[in-house]
Amino acid sequence: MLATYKKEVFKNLQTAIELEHSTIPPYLAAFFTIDQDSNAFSWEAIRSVVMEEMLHMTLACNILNAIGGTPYIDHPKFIPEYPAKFNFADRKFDVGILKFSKDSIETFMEIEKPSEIKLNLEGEEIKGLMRQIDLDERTIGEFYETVKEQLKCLVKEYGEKEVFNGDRRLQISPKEYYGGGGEIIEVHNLETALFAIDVIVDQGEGAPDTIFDGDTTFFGQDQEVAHFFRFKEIHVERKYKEGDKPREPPTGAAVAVDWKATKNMIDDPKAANFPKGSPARIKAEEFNQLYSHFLRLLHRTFNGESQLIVKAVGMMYQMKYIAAELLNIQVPDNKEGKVAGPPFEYIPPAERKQYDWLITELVEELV
Amino acid sequence: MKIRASERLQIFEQLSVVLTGFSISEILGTGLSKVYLETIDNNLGKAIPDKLFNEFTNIPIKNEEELTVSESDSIEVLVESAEYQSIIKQIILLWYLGQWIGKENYIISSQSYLEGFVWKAIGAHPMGGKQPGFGTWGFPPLTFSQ
Repeated sequence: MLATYKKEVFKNLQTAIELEHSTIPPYLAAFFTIDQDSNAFSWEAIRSVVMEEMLHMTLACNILNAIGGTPYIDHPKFIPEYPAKFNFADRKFDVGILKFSKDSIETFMEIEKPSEIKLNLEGEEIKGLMRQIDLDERTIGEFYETVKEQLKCLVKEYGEKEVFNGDRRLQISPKEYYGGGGEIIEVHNLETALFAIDVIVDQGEGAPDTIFDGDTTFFGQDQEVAHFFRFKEIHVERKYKEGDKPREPPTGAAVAVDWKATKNMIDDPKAANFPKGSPARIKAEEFNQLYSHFLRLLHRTFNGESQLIVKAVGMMYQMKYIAAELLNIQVPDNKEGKVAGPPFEYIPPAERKQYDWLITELVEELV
Repeated sequence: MKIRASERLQIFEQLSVVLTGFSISEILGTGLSKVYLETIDNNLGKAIPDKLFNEFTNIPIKNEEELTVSESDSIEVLVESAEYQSIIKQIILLWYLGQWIGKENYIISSQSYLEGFVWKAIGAHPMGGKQPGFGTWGFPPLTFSQ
């Protein structure tokens, strides 16, 4: 039955959305804790990667909507509890909300690892958590390969029209994305779905057998190495150059990475770990409130109200500024002088404070 | 009462809450209180601020963010006194504009320009910095309802 088979693909695409989203808080934490001036290269590299993760999440939503599924975003299980457990077929590791460091970059490389590359990085002991990333495949690329096969099989069996029967108005269009590589692809048939997946995979781990992402081929954009290799450049403090091979270390120009010039953020900040009424607690809660409202807005954006993305982007900027404020606030009674950071915790709708933008919308709806 | 150096910054931060109307988490969030206190010391010397801090600590205040009527009255006396009028104005301008206004006027740093409370107070953003996202200017300012 098509409906039954589709449910399998829905599930995988929902996992894809969660997977793409789950990388964003850790990448952002590394990005927020480095100083743009003293670590210009790393700052720009991580910034560009995190923008593209947001693109990937959007693409996964477009594919899911194209086949008639429903992206769930404002949901308590949508966010992993950090440190999040990443379980691939052949390796497990923790992904935390940590400050920029050699360790955090190594974890990022684990996430983005291409199939053909072996890493000798040991996964850490896993702490208890609520939600995790479980994949039957060895890499994100292989996971998306499974999704591609599923879509191809369904189309072969039931025809393109039956499979891609989603409402086209649910698609997020290219004009909504700026500041990162690649482009949003509106998905309405097998070809565009497979293309969207190729963009995701190539940006992450590189086009097959190259260090470069597909943005030059696909969109005529400047040549850029894929996420895994961008992290590798930071890790070994050297850039790739034309002709370098995926399995070999970069041989381009050295880049300056100042591993010490970071904000000394506490690992995996959580609002409840800061004393009640303390500035760290108040700001952390403010961040969580905003983040939870943002997930709601994003949920609506991907479920028929695509015009709301303008507001969602505005909220992302706001979260960035509150995160910067958190990083200026000392954790009370912390002997190592650690500062607070953005917790990215889910607040259920009933506990959310009123928010001006939402009130305005309500009024508009009533009029 | 002599103010200990270690307490000086904290007293300045508490005073700043009272003078600006912004909470302690907003004050600390700017990461600028130390720089601002240094700016005051460099321009005025330590004697005047110390005297002000002393007067301020003599006013018993339970919670700087929610002054009672009598606490507020005491602060008003301080604000309007001939002796402190000028420094108090300078402290408020530091926080709101990120500028020192005195014999010389100058912006403390690019950070202080961005963190000026004036932007939050009017629900806007500093031009050329802290961009709010394309098109968001079409919506009312973004704040939680009190």
